[in-house]
Amino acid sequence: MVPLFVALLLVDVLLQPDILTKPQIGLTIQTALPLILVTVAQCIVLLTGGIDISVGGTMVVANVLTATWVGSANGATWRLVLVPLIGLILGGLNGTLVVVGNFEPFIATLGTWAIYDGIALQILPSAGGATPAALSSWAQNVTNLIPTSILLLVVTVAIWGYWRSTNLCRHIYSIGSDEARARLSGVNVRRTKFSVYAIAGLLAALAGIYLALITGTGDATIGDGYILSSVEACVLGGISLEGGSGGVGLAVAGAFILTFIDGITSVLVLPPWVSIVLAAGLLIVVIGIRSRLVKFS
Amino acid sequence: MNTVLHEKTAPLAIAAGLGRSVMAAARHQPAAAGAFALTLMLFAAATAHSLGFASLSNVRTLSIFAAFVGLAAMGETLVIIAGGLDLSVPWLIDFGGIALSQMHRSLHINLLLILLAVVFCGMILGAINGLLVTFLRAPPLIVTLGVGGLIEGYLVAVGTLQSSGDVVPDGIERFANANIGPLPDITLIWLVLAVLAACILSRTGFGRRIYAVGDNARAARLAGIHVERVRFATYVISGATASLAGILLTGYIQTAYVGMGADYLFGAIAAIALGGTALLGGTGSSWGTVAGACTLTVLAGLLPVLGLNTAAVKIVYGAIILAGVYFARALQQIGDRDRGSHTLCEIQPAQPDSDSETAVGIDPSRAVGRLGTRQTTGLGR
Amino acid sequence: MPPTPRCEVGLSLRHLEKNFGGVRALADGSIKARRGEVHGILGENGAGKSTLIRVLSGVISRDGGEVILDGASLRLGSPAEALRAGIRTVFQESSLIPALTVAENVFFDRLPIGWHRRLRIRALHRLYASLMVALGARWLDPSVKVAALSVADRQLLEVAKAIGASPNVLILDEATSALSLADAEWVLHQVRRIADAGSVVLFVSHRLQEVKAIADRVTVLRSGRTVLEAKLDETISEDDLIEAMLGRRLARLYPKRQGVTHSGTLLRVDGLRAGTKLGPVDFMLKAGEILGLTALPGQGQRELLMSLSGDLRFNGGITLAGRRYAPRSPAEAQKHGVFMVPEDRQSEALFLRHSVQFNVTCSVLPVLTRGLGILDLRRERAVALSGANRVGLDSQRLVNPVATLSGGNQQKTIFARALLGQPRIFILFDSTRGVDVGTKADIYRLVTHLADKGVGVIFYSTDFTETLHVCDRIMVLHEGHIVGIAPAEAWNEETLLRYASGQPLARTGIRPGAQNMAN
Repeated sequence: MVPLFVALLLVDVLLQPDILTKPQIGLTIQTALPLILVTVAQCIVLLTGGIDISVGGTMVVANVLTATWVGSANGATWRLVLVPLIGLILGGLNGTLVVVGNFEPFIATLGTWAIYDGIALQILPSAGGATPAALSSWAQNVTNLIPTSILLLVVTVAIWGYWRSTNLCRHIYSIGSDEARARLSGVNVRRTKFSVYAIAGLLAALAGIYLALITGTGDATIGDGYILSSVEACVLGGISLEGGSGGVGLAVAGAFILTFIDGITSVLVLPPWVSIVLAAGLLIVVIGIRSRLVKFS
Repeated sequence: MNTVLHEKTAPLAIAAGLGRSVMAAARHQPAAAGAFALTLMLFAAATAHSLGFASLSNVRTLSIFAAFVGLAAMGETLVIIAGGLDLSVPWLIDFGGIALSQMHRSLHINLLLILLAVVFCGMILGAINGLLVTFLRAPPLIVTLGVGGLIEGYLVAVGTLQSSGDVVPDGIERFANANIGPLPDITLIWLVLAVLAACILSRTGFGRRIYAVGDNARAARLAGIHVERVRFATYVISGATASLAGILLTGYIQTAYVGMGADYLFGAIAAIALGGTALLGGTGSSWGTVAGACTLTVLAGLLPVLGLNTAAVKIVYGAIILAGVYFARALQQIGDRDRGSHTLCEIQPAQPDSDSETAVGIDPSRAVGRLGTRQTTGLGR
Repeated sequence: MPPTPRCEVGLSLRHLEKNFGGVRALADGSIKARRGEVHGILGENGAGKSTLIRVLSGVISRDGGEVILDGASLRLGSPAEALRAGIRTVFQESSLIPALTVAENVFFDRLPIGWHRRLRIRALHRLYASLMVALGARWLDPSVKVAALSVADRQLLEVAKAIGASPNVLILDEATSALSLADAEWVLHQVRRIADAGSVVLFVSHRLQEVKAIADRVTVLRSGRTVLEAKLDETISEDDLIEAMLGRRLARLYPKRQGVTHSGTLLRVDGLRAGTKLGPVDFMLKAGEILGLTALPGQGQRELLMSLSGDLRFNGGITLAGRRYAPRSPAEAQKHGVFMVPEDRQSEALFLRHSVQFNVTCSVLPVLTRGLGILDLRRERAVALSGANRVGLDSQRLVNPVATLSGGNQQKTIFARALLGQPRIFILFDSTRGVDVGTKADIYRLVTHLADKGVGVIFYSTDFTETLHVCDRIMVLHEGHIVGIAPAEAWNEETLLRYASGQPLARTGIRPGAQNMAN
């Protein structure tokens, strides 16, 4: 996966040499960051052997809240702190359905996706609203000493680096690898699964907030595209849908690959179908290569 | 005399017979019966709210929309029972519609031939899904998503027909808007095919194999069933029904465009789940999916009547999916219990005298079985 | 561990009950285990031993009864709770997580957590090294993933993991079943050491000899009930224990084969290799012969049987009745008349959501269909009935979901399925594991009957006793090779174990290799 990532990066750089300037790097990461956050959310759920369709819904709820509830009045900016918590609650609801209700993750999150999407649509029926201006300009800034998007990416990576050495991470891999044995070894499977869905909700909400800040508006329909893209990015990054194998870092690389493909096709002014076919074809090729490798290993 | 008497009692006898068979069916497919009952209740509620809901024209319209959901979900029902998943359905629908228009414009041949050609192409696309899933042994979710992307790319590439209603063949347009007796053509086609699918599932060897493969693919293989062939066939069938849904949808809305099938991506799966088919495979029925399609359609028709906006509709829709799946599962378990199984509901296969294999969700012996399977796969099977 | 007077009752189980869907797996499991003693638990496969162990380690919750540890009643709602109470279990199936490394698994619930990953791993490896040295255990690379270990290494590691936690209660469930003699000796030594340190030790095994060698006291379970609890001394004989386990005398369990006549060679295997574990092996099977196969777990027996039944690709030549036999799938193998009863009923053989009839007829669907693939339901019923009759399965059961059947009846369902295919070669993959004694007797009779009618039977079993009694010839597999093959009369349990462990002794008179093949 890394060679592919590097190759696409090189192509991108060759096509537009000025991409290596700081503002351009900042912009590229800014474009990729929402998908990266959602991908990380999807990734940890996939690692346990589940799937979260509702990330799109959670994302738009946070998105429209940021553009309305938070940005509605001058003194309301502090409410931004509450939005991730709402994401945590929505994710926790998914976790409850899966853990307590024994729903298949696909169906549970399919249902909550519709619900969350509806809630977002109720809050903001058509695209609009406004985000706090100061925050938005901070988020959009790519000419700082360190562009905000780069800063946020570094923070994300740092948190992930810390998280990787926690017991929660080990338990997630254990559950994905073999749920029964994980339980025998003393892992609290239910609590871990619940936490995973809740954290995924939190991350999806962060993605929604960030997207609102960089666009300056809210839109209750932007979430849908991220659902399948996040799964795609994870698969490109080598996450197994059966759980237990793959790394968050590679999933992030997968998200970048998708972003690069979009970037390259738009720079070359290729017709839109090229990027669709490229992404889909790549997915099948990657899956094909991987299953061959597994076969012969 | 005799005949008069006969005429008088005949409807009663038929009704009684019908009632009996409905009861029998309900016992056999409690989840499907539950979804049908839910549909009726929703329908009654809507009618109570506004009488026009039960008008013939409205029922016809609803039945057509249900037919689209039902057709989109029909092949996928088989795929899911066999333990797979087909996310390429919406793009297959797009393909059906657009290919119909394209072929009609460029080829000047009999409409029926065009229809057959489109469905055949849909089957080939389904076959690609099937080949990739069976021979790459890749997760169907990703493979069918990828194939869907490829189809979308292709459709966008060959040039979309943005609302070019004039290219939709007149014949199919007329057919899609006509009725046979009280029922619209489209509904009739759907119901006939649903009966066919139900027969395949319950009365043929192929149907048996579909259930077997979905319940336990490893056991099916060791029992001498060609797992790959069965799975492959279900994807081909899904390609056929989805592209047929696309053709009829194009005829009905008199246009074809990329994205016209988008609503059916999760809609079809929701209908299947509402009908009591487990997404993990092995159980379910064609009737369940028919019932699920009806429930979703009546719901979608009812909510605006109640004065709910799109947002509220979505929320209720999601809640009904969750509640419906929950109750479908509960009903199915009650049905299983009636047939002598307490164990299924606890997902605890009975192990009265088995020492070395337990049952429970946490089942180490199964874990070992899984391990063994993995090992053998690793060995080059 | 506080100094505790020896022989004081540490762990006491009172009338444990466990039902699976209305069927009793455990009716009255009672044990009084004393500190400082190794307490053996004996019982046939299916007597409720593992259910008892699972209740005790919190894997499944009990329906009734009490668990009392040092005077306090325990709830044991989850494995985590049992671990907190100091109960460590060495599971037969291994609780090691394949995706994690050796060291991570051993210290799974007490990993040294630091901020910096590298530092922590070094600390972990130091801990691991000191533990393994202290235990005198065979060294396994701490950074290797458990998925890459052999079955024997995993079992060894599982024991090290449990003992390394200095448990208050140590439970070993068939902990030595896959181990070589040397490793098994190490385990028994450690078990004794832990007991001497004052822990409660429960030692579960179906190998009578092993229990007699290590245990001070024994509890025998039969059909979910404690039927005997005794101190192991001279007053109790082996026969008493066997009778307590079986509920009847051993001799009546096995059918006598009269006038064994083997006709020509049915199957000839030359230089068979499969996967990384098996081969090359050569042997042959005659029509009407029951060829026994036994081995410790993970010695290539799975590869051998799966190759024969068409599930696994192999190299080398197999001829069946004089014709080349190279099946590409189980379906093709069945066309040649080769049928297998798989090892794991639930994951490899049964369609648990469907009826018994569905399960019985699924291999013969082509014969049951008329034109267009439509099933002849009446015919299906008749065929299923005949199958059920052949294995002695109650015909009333045909409509029931197979999941509601007992283990024995589930096994009969699978036998009925295989028999309907008119087998020429019938392969049993440890088919008597986890079934009741009555079903076992039925299976022995069935197998003998098949052989009498000229079917070639390959009988793989991990139970040496039954292998010795049922088979005409026995071969032993070790590390993918046949290390001994000889008529059943030439073997006894000890020689079987020695050969299976890869330590054949010359004085047994059986020399490894194929020279005794001619029978």
